[in-house]
Amino acid sequence: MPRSWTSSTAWSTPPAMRDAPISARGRAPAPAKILGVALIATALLAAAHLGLFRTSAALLQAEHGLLGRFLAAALCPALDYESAVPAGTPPLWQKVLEGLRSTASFALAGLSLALCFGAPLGILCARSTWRAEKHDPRALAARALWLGARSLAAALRSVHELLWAALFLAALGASPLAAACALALPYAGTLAKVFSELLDEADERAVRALEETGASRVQAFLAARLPTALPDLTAYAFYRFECALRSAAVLGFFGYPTLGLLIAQAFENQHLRELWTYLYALLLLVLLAERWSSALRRRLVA
Amino acid sequence: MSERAAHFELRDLAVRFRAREVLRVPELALERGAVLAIVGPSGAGKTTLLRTLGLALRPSAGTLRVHGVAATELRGRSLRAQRAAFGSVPQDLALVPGTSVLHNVLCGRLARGGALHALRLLLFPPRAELLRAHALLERLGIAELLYRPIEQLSGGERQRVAIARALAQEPEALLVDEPIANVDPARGRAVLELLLELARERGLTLIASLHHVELARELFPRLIGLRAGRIAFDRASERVDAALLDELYRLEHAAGHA
Amino acid sequence: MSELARWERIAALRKQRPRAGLLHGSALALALLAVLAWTTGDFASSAPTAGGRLAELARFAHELVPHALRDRPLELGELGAWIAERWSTSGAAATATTLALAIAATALAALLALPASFLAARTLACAEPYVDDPRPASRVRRATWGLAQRLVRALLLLLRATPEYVLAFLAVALLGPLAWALVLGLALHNAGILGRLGAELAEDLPPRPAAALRASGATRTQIALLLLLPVAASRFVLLLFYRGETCLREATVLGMVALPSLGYGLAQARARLFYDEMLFFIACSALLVLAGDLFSTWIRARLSVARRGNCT
Repeated sequence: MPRSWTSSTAWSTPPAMRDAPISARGRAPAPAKILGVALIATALLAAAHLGLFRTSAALLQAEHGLLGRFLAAALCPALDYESAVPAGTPPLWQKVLEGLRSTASFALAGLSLALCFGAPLGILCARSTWRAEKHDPRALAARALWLGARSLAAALRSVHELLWAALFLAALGASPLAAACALALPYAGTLAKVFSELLDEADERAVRALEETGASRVQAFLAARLPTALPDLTAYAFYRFECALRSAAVLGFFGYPTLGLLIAQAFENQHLRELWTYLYALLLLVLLAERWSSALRRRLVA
Repeated sequence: MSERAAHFELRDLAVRFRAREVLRVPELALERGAVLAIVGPSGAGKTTLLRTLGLALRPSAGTLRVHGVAATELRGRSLRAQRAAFGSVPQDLALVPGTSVLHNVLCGRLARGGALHALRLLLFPPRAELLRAHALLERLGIAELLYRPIEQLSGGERQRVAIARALAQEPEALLVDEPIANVDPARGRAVLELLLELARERGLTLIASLHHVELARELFPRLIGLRAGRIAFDRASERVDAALLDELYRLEHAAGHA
Repeated sequence: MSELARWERIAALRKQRPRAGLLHGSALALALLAVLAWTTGDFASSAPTAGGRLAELARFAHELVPHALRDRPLELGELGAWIAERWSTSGAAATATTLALAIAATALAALLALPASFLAARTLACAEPYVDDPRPASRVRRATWGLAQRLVRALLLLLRATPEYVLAFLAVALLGPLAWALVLGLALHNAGILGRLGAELAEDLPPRPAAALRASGATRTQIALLLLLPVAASRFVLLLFYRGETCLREATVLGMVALPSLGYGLAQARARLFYDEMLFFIACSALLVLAGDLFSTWIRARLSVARRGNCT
């Protein structure tokens, strides 16, 4: 499969499989059948554990009135407040704009912080950084440091940004800085992981050539490996900006003034048409970012 | 570094990959300013010999002296300093993808300092370095490509960039691996003539590996024939005749029948 | 050439050099916006004031220690007993539910994404799939297929643009606090992603066998099910595991909306200010996500090795 940079989700494909050849064979070999059966059985077991089969009847008996009103509201999002507001309240469009601005602002703050930590950590997580000659006494130390960096990145990544937010909320109270940190920590972990893979995947020939004509490891990294990987690194960072926008919106459910807060409040007050206005605003923001980053990606990897 | 010692001096040198011996040179001396081509069938060890001479490959046994200094013993900083004295043009050119011609030429200047030097050189190249790079590219006839991304260059132009990078090192020797393998025949001669001219004008030791033996015999004063990791002959070009070359390129299975 | 002339020549070349305008502009714009975000608005006023914050942090750190062990020298045995007790009372069940949530959501996403990928693939969802010389298909047919393909693509785009947490929140709000709601929220978002990737898989498949099948009179559905599905299946499974990792990570927080799982336990602990318990749940989710990552990486490596073996 050729690298599909044009899609916003190209990055969901892990590097290891992006260059996997397409199988020419149609029939699945026996182990694949076993895997297939195992997958289906696991899925059924999970569904049974959650009681999905038992409660599917309840699903149909859900409050249809609400569902209907919700779907109907999609067709006519509110352009003004649905109920009376105190005098002096700014108009709805200003509230929407403010929500958009603060969503973007939290995303940018979180991502920029994540880049500050994630990029150096990514370099430390790359195998190529610690490449040692055979029998080099420092090889063991290099391996330990590499493992340490990898573990740190994995630990940061394995705690969801909302869990970090819960932790920071409890520790620091509802400060925007805490929200930015909550976003930045797992993002730094993810950036470090993917950056390290991209650096390791980068074409080695120039790196080798420079080292073989007298450049030091650090110099060869700066002059060859980094520039070689830079388009991919940039493209990935832009893709993460899209994700950061979504995460920032969700942080609103924890009381931060992003679009998530507006959505939650609108639902609490049963202002379904306003809710759709906020939803559309969020979608617009994310889709714009997607268009932007995919245009950049096309240019970067053209 | 004595003046009398040869530029390269090999003795009982062997290179093994795992158990397989790919190169064995009992004795070989190359004077400063020597110009020669290494010829031989593919897989004969031409690239290995070049990489060994350039200190990119550490021989498994034997010694390699450069100006009388045992280069096989060099480590770390002194190894890098010695490597920097050899400009090398690998067959795949190994230019840095996605960068400009200038960036690649400046890469030849890296070994003159540390990491900070590299950052300054590549991000904010000093005036003197820019002038030098431009003059060098002008000599190679591609000065107007200074800021062009290497992806927009033709194969021949890229090769000149790689040569410029090697010359930017201000090397004592130029090691060129199959310079005409990826260039059309008409251009191949021009590239070789350019390399020879550059070597003469700068007093460089020039060692090129070539599969095109006719051109090598015509243009290079000295040929080394390599076969199956051994030196089959090492003599002036006029003394290399057709029989010698037939012997060099004789197929293995044909040898079995003979 | 004099030095000055050379310098002018370089300056002229520099002026003509090709520029990545959009790229540099975008990077600059984002950097400027990031500076703006930090210096104005939300973050400008939130610099922690040293004294009060430190005391608060110390109190918080104190409360992270399990209740029974506070103000005493740490004993690993007691800590272990506390963890074991938490694990058996709520941790194990919550972890199992979270895992089940992730698996069920991934499976449902795959189920939804399969037909969607075929309908979104340009090579298949057209009036005359895999025909070099499209016999003049009627204009209506072409328009209908084009519209259908575009609609499915748009739907997938909307689904993946909406955060799973928002989808789950809305689903719970509309359907009630059922496990179904969370599964649907998580599955819909991932169906959007898998559908897009699946469509790319289908489009990337070599067209010749399909064209041959088509020429022998097979229908669109037959091509999809008999040819494309088996060929793309192993790749699709790889994608599935990859999305499974992300689903597991998201599943740890979706419980905050409803359903007694890790996120739910955490939200409860937070509401009651039991920070030791909160930390316990966070640790459980981190370990679960890590284990999932390791398992998925392992199995994906094995699967792709097996696939590569098949091809060569």
